Amino acid sequence: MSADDAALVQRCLRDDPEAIQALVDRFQTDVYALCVHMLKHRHDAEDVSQEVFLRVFRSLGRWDSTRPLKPWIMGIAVNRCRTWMSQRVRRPELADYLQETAAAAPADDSSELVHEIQVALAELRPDYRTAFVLFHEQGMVYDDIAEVMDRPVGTVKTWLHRARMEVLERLRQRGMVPELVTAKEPDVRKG
Amino acid sequence: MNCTESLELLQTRLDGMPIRDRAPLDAHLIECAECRSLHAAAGRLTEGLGLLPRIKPPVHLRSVIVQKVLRKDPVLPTRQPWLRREALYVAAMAASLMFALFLGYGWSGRSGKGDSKVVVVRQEPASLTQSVSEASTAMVSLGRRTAAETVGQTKMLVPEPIPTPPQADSDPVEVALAPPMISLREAQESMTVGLNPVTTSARRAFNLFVRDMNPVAVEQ
Repeated sequence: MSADDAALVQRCLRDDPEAIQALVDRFQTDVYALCVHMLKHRHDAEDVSQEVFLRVFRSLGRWDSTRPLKPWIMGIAVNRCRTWMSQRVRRPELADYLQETAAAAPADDSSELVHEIQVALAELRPDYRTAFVLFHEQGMVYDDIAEVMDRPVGTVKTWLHRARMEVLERLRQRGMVPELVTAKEPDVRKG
Repeated sequence: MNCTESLELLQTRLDGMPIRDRAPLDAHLIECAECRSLHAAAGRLTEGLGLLPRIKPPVHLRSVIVQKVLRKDPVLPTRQPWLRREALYVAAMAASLMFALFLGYGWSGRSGKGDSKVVVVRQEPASLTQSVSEASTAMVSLGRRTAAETVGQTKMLVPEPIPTPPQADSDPVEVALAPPMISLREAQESMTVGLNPVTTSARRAFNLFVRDMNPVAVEQ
């Protein structure tokens, strides 16, 4: 993957339009999704995503070709989102991306489960949410997440673990977790 | 196994790593309802994460980005927060100084008094400390002039008592005028001086209160 990234970057540095398009295609979904999660607003995410790629191509010559490209690009996205959040007025409304629903409406509580997870994510503090999204949605490993967030691996693990516990707690509070009774516990129904 | 170890295995499970020996964990979950509940929640979280809809970018985003990159559009500048704060402080002090100067020149023109002080502003750029000092001096001077103006105008509002004419068939009656309210004026002036740092509206409110308290004050 790194060799493939390096070849693509070299073509981009020669202003190859197809290479530029290919690089955008490869990373725009992840960049945009991360921005939506961090900013909790689609329009802001769109603006920041454009800003991210402008900065990516402007500083592409400084990318270390021995390292994977995705963490470097996502690191730029995280920084831009942080800057954007520090400069804008806090919006009181819920994240607009929560209106996104699953493609099918299953007969069980799956849609409700998805909604509760999305709400729980939106309520996490930004660093926790970023770590959670990078791991569970984008499949990044701890070392890459640490590089993206510019924090030690231990810090990233702590953030992710705490984020999970908060999400789990919300699922329990919202009745998404069935009560499990073991054989050793007395059956109160028998009196 | 205790709860701490159970939660560590919960995190391992959510990391997507297999648990090699489940027996101790299963034994603990039989005994501990809390850990059993958390592990059940972790199962539901894993299930839900697989169902989360993928956030997709708008269709036009790709073409917009490529166009901007090919045009080499400039990126938005990133200002350092501390630079922003410094700029705000300097701008606020400069605005205060300009406002004070504007009022100062306006007041001295209207009062026409020879003892009005004019705040001289150096044309060359001054340091932040000097600007703060000048602004403070200007504000104090402005406060004193405003207080003097207000006191003077308030005096004009105090009605002079109309002496009653003497009766024709009686001895002239000395109309005893109310003694001049010297102590009240002194208190008023001392209060005005003491209130120099206070806003103009507070001083005017106090002077109006004094006027309403005794309308028969006589100016010496």
